[in-house]
Amino acid sequence: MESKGIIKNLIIILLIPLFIFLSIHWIEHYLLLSFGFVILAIILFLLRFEKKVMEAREIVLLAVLAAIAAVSRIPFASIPSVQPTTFVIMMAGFVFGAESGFIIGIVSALASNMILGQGPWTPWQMIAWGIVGFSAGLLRKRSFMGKTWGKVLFAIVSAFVFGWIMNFWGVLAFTGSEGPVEFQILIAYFLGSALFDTIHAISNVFFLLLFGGIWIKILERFKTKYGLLER
Amino acid sequence: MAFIELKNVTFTYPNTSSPALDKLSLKVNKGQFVILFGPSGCGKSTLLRLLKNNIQPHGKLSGEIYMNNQLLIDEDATEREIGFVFQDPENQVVADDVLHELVFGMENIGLTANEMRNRLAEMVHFMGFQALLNRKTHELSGGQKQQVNLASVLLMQPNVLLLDEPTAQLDPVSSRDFLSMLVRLNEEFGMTIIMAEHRLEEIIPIADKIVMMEKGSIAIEGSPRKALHHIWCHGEKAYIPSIPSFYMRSLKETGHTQIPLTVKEGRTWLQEHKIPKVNNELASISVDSKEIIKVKNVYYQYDKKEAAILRDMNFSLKKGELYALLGGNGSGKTTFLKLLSGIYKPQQGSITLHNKKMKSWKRQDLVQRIGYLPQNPKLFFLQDTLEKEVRQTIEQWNVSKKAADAILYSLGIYHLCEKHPYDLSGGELQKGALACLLLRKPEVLLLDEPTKGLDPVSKEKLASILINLTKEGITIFMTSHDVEFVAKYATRCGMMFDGTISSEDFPGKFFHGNFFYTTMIQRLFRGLSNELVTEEEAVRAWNQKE
Amino acid sequence: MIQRFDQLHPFVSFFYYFGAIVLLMLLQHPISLSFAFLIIVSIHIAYDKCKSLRQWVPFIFITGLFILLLNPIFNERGRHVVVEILGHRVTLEALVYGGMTGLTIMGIIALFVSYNEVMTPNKLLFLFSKIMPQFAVLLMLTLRFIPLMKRRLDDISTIQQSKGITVVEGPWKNKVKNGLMYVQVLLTYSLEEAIQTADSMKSREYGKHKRSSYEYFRFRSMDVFAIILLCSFLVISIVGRMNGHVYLNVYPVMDSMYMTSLDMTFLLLFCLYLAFPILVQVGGYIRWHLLN
Repeated sequence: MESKGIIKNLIIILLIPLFIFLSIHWIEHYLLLSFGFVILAIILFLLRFEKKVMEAREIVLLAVLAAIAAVSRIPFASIPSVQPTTFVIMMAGFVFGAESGFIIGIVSALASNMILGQGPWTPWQMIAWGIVGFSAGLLRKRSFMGKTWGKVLFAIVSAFVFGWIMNFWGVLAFTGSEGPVEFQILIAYFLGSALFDTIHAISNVFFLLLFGGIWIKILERFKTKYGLLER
Repeated sequence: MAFIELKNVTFTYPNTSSPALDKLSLKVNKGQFVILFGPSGCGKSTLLRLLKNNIQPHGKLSGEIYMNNQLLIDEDATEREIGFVFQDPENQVVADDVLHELVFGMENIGLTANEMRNRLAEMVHFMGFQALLNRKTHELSGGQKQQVNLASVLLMQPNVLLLDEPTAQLDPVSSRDFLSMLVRLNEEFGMTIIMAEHRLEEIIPIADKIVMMEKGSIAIEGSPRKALHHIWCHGEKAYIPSIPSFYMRSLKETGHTQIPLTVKEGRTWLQEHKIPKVNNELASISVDSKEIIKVKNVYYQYDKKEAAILRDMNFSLKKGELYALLGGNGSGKTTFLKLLSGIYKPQQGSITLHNKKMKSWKRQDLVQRIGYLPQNPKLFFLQDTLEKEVRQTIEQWNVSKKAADAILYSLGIYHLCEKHPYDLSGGELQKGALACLLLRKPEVLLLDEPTKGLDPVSKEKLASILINLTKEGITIFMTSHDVEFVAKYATRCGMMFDGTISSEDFPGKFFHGNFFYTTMIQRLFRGLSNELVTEEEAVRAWNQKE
Repeated sequence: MIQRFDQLHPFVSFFYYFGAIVLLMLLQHPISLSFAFLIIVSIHIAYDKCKSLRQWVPFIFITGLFILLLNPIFNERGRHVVVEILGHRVTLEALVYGGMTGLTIMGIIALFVSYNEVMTPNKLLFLFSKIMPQFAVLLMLTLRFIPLMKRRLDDISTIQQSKGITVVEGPWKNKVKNGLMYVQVLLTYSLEEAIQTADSMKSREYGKHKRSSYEYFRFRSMDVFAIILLCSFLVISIVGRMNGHVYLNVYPVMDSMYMTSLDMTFLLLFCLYLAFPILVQVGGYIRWHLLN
């Protein structure tokens, strides 16, 4: 068992310089690089998660929230472009902290893609929702997040950041594996997605204003009930 | 010394004044099959959980718990010896396929791959799981899930099995299968089993000891016959299964040694007596022939690719009746209920309410007239207290606060208003949802398995509520697996089979033709006096004999 | 039984797809990319006669065409002007570049379709449990909860509809509000119930000992052979690419498409790598017929 752990660590230690070497060698290879970067970031985070020993209740709580985030779009099937996944992840990060928020975002995207079918967008979606959860957790203690306007601002920003990260992969795919990223394409792409991102942001704010308070109350209640994730 | 022994155990949950267990002492010998029963909240679950130390609830504990002459404290010494199966089959499942679920416990204790494979092979053989092994857990029926849960626990090779109402959520067929598995474990492998359970009917013949609990302490304990007799004299009679109950009602002065527990024993006893052939005046209930809901040639399927779940269904519901629909799992009972409520729409055929097609009703009017009480009333509540839920309903339907209070009072739940719905017991929760339904003064109530998981006392309360409602002119349609309940209280019942209602009659007529799907009393009297279906009728017949 | 690619150890399959995508992104040459796409389609033919790929065909071709056209519209760079439309120069370079990008994306998507067929959640979970046991448990629980939550949402929507609270009619605002109300019920209910899940894990001693994992898949000699083969092909191809083989420079000046014999060798290796699933199947087929 021990030797296995060493091999595992060795592979990881070797992986990083290899990646750095390759990235210097093909600095113009945006598509490959960005994929490598995103995947490596996720792996490093997961290894960190692995180090922290979790109680059954904590792990179940994370899984429930991730699963709810993944299925929460179902009731909205008849309403185009509106889905509360981002809102759910945001609330989870806000109450349970940055790391929990990040892991919920990642697992939720990964699990739903495992059921619906993976695509090249999987890692991007993972990192995008991960970041939403992470930053919600990171900023939760700041005074502006205690106020409504702060949360509203956060909801708007996170909708756009999510959209942009997903665009990023789209733009890279469209402009090719290396070649210069054309500024015009970038503009066109972002303008194209702006409508969706705006709806996303509006629905986020709508959910937040109507449900934010009660959701925080519900989650806080369970936080004490499970007696967990206080660290 | 006993294998498991509790001495003066008192346990108090945090933030509560009265203890959940109060100076409780209990002995269990090795290899015994012990059954705990009593009203919800009597401390059964608390007692079981205290015996399994890694899921012991938080709170103040005093007294001593011994197992195998060792003090049971929160050390690892004894924990692997105890397996625990919970009530809800769904919530215990952690893996998305059966194989993962089975090996989960073994992985947790770090067994080697070889050891796991050996144990698994044995278990799959014992339980007959070959066909399930690669299935997804969410495709299994409740009964299958509960068996998988049991198997996963057994793979860790415990000596003691604790079960907290494991069959409360199962239909009669699966619960019988599950119980017979427990009997095998007890008889063939000498496993010590302690189980909490409401329905004594099927398990009482196999138990070595039954324990009735009340308010955190033991009210009555002893061998089944002795304890039953004791309950008969001093306790809540609703817990006594119908055959022993009938025996004790008919022979008023008697000892406990002869009490029949099974149909077989009962029939042996009855052979000695001559029961007159009674002409039970079969259900002379005057039913208003006015049809409220009429279903004509309805077809329904969930998916184009799948077979239709309802085929050429014809049905009519008459004003003021209490109609019970029986049938196996997956026979389409619940689907039909949803069609009647107007939530699902039939692909072919028509459903009319007051001779007007459901489709042409305004949703609002339809919702007002038809109330639907789901199997799981927890999902009914949107608010975090009962009071808020009621207030929301009042606003939605424009009823007076006074009327609402009156309903809450009459259901006996007014004092629960401030509580979170999830903190209520199953029976209370059901009444809470029923109150919200009654606020809109519906004409028809649709109940999905209303007796599931209720203890006998709550069941009787529910029955009296339902009967009162029918007297007030509300028509009730319910689905059920509970043959005894239906035989006692329904005015008409039907059997769902193969996508349609295969037979339909008044309970007396309906059950006396059935062989398997019928009451204990009917089985007792088969060939002797076929018309007897319920305990009341049997007692009446007995008295005529005298 | 005829040996097939999806019967190999999950690690082998995963490694194959990983390497294939890296190579697709690296070896940017019209010829290699065209070959690659054809090979990936053949993998689908060999696997299930293109059953799973079929529903993706429109998406794949529209995306490919879109990228092919988009590049010349935004990009005027390059020396060889093919045609000038309304003062906009459409260059050969832009067309070639767009074509290569399009082919890459088409290939990647088609590969993912195959990946989804071969790498079942089970296999991925198994891989995770080997390197990250705790994360694997979390993922397993999530995968178990998703269908459960779907069913609960179904129940919730039925029950709430029967109370007159719906997401199918009424103004936009009410629909969205009711929709999230459903999710809120799901949240409270599931968190409440999940305490039992945690208890059931604890009663089965989760978190008390070092966890082992059941061997759903065994690493056989066939797998060792496969991984060595794949690994060496992958490394050689990357080394070749680092030395500029099987790569077409488009900007600023487009190279000629001519391939040297060394280029051809690397191209062949790349094709062999990609065609690995087919080779496994063909090998198995031959062996089957020799044995019988």
